[in-house]
Amino acid sequence: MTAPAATVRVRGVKKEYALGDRRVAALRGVDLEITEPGFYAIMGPSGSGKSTLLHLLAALDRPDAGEIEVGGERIDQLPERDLTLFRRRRIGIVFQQFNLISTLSALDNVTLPAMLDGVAAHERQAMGLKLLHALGLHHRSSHRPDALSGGEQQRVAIARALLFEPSVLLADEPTGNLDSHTSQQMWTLLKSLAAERRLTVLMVTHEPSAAVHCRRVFVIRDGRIETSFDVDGLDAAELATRTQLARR
Amino acid sequence: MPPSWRLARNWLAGKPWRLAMMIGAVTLACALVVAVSCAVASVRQSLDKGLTSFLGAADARIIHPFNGRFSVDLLETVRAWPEVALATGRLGSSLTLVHADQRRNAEGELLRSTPNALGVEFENEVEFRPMELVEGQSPREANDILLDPIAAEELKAKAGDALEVQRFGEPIALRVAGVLQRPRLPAVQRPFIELDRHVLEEAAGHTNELTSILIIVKDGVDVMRFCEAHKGDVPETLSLEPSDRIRAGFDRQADASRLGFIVASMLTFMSASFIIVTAMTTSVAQRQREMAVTRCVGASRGQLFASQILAGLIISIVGAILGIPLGIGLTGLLYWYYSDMLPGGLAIAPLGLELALLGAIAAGVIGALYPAWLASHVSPLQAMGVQARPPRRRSLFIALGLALALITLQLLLFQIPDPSQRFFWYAYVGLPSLQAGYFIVAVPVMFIAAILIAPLLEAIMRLPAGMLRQSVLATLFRHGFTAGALMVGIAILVSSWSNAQSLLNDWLGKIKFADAFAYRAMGITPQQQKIINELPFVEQTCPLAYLPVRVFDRQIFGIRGIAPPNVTLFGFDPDRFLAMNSLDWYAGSPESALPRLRDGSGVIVADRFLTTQQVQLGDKLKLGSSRVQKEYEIVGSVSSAGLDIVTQLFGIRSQYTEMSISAVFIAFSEVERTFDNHDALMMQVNLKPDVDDEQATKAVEKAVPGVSFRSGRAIMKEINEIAVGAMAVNTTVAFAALILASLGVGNIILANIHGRRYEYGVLRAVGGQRGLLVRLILGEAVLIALAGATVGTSLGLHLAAIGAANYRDLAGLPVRVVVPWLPTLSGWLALLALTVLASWPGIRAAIKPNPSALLAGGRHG
Repeated sequence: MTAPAATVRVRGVKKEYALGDRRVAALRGVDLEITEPGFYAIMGPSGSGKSTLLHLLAALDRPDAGEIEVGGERIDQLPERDLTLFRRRRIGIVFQQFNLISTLSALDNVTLPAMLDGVAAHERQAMGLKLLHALGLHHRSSHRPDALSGGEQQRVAIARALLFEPSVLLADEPTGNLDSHTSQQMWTLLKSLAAERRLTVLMVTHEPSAAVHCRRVFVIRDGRIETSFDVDGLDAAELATRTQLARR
Repeated sequence: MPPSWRLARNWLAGKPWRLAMMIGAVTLACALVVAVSCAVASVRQSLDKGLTSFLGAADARIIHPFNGRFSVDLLETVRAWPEVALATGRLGSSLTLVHADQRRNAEGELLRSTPNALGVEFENEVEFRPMELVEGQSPREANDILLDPIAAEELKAKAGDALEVQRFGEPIALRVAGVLQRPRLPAVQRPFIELDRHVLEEAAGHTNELTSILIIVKDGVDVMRFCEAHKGDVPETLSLEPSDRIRAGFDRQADASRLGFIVASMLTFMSASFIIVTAMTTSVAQRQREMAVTRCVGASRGQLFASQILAGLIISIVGAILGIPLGIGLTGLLYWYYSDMLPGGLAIAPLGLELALLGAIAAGVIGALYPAWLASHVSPLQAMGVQARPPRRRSLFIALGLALALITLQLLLFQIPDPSQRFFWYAYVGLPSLQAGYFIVAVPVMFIAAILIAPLLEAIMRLPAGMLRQSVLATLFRHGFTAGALMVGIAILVSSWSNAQSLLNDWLGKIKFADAFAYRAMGITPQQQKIINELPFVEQTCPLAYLPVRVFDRQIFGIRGIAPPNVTLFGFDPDRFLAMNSLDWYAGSPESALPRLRDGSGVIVADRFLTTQQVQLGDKLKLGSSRVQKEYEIVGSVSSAGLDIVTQLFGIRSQYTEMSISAVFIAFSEVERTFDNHDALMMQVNLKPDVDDEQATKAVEKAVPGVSFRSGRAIMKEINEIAVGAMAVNTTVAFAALILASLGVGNIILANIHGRRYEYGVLRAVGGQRGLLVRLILGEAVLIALAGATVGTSLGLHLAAIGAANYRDLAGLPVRVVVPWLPTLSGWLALLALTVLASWPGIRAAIKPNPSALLAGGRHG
């Protein structure tokens, strides 16, 4: 599978939010470009705008200014309906809190986007089981989320995100609710997925130990990309120093 | 299966108890509507049965004012009128009957009787009045006849006997089929028989002639308008007029009951839809994160909107499937409990069943609209974690504005001039908008309750200052809608009791007449009057004289070229008569009329005399015979529903027929003085309170042989029992609606608590005791109940005002708005108790888990 030339491009993106009576500028003109598949991280202190940026890339919100291109598609000016379809078919999103539907089984959670797309039941089932098998959860396909461990739930969420074979996978603090051992497994998984499927995986994190698995790190501070650098053999401590972030 | 259906199914499967509650709300609403419709139909059936036995079922009639005959061709003309459901012709005459075997009495005299004969169409006649027999069976053959007890006695005849009509020419053979049940007035009435009209035509020589046509109009036809529209279609010599039953107003009351049913159905289904909207809104709020996630992975707004609507539709259809059979069962239970008040039996109303199904679907779909809108507006960003946000103040003002607009819409619709149009718009647009308006106004009322009453409750329940208020204000709309869902039961209670109390006092209470009546067709002599008056159990009497007279020097009835015919002069003691009867004064007043009646210079006339004969108050009438004439002034015009009923009891229908057209009331003393008539046709008798009617009857008939005596108290008792029965049904419905709402609200409170577990967990984590949670939740329940009762009472009084106006406009019944204090207070207390009880499952759900479980469960939704 060959990824398009620029998988993610952000130009001069700005975003403000209302907070009570005042307006807060979350992004003040962000420029970012990713041209090759791989595992990437966006790091920054609390309130830096990293989650806001991810939300915009995931078409969960619209920028106030600037351009956003994901997977070769300009999304900043798409109408509501097309944004919804974009989220459904073109990208995958993984959340810190897993965000599985508690009343659905693992298989039904994985195939939810396909159900929304009107895909026939047998076809959905085949797609879902294939993904669960690939992620080592075939034997848990009929279990509900409350019967799964945190790591298993997050893998189900990843499987859901990969259902329509997107070119971009966005992850918002995917290991925030997991223990360190499981977190390590999760980072390894994401890295391998990026390599095997030629995915662009863009992960928001504040953990240097997560970012060391990435190819490149973008550091965001006060609503702007302050710097970016290749990880290339850095350890967590060095990475933390580069990013000037305090350990949690 | 389309995605929206799957989303709906998933959504419904997620909360089985809440689903059961919503289906339960629709089920109970359907059951209530079916039960109410069948109860109203049963009450109407009972009313009809009772009234038919008194007044007959005819809505209108065509008669010859002077008991003449007319062509039978008119009957076919009448049957062709589009408004007519059924018409039957009658022929009055008299025959002489003997036994076919020329039977004789002990003295050797031929047994013979010359009864009044009424020729009828038996197959139609049963629709107009019940044919109750003391012996034998209904006629089956053309030559079958029915004798009254007097004729049967004169002929010494019984069922099965063969009789003959004595006439010039070949005798006509007849067979006695049975003996009619008829008030036995041996010294008063002539014997009477009923037979086939065609046989009577032949026997009496009145081929193709009738003396009256009785008409039943189709449902929904206004009888007064029908008569007005067709009066030009009957010959000038005949009169088309509403029957006594219509003039007594009972059909108007039955129409008013139908109005009541439509209103009650609307209220009930709106109530169910309020429960659905509140429950589904709570669900949407609770499952916002889930919906946001679904939006994140690509669900469109339309899919979420449709899923809620489909969920509402599923709830309503299942509710209807369960509720309609339940309603029929409830009807059976109601009938079993109230059977002695419903002599007409149980009636199943098809309209009620149709309305239940359509209403259920409407309730589910309408109830789902707002939650569907909410769901479709869930932002995907809310998947990132959102707690309940306090509503903005602007939302409160929007809610208030919307509520006032909806209530005002109903007020505007009420300005439509035409009463029928006004009722149509009220029932189908105004009432739903009114209810929706009051439902929404419950939110500002809840706000006021939180500001004003919450501090008081905090003090009473030992809650930290501001905690209850903040708790309610944090989810104001949810609390407000919950209160709104409670309002309908109170509203039904208040409105139905208000209208009923007024009906009982202002209308039914006016149907007043004497305790009993003495009657003798030959007249009750002054000596007999004195004997009756002096009986120990008699409290007061009022003799009524009856005298046909002529009107001179005035052409009345508007009939050109015809000499002034007789009018009927009724002589009465003005003071005693007014004390014993309730009259509606069409023109004039008792104060101005009484002195003129006492001095013999004035007369009062029946209301129809005034309106149809082109005379007015102050006109002079010269009354009398060829020998005696005197001029009188018209000093008043009256009608009386009570007297209409009473005159039927004695079968003095012909006199009443005349009364409706040409009755003139004058002082008894004037009848004695000017017309030298001292006998009374009838005496109204008021009895002492502890007198048994049966004993009084025997005593009078023994003291004055030949006088017939009949109880008026028994009639009023029956009328009151029917009215009380109807009120009992209304109250049952109201309390059922209260219970329905409380059941729904209990689950909504539970859902509210479930949605705020995180907050409760924080409260417990920082040191709040379980008791604090209990008092907080109870405080919220009390505030919800008080707000719901306030809104419900306001809506109830508003509905009572509308009901009173509808009764006046459409049914002609004088109804005021009264505040039914005791029922309202009972409703408030019941609502408080039910709401507090209904909140217990929620309280248990809040206090049972430990704080960490509450925190963990609440954070992740």
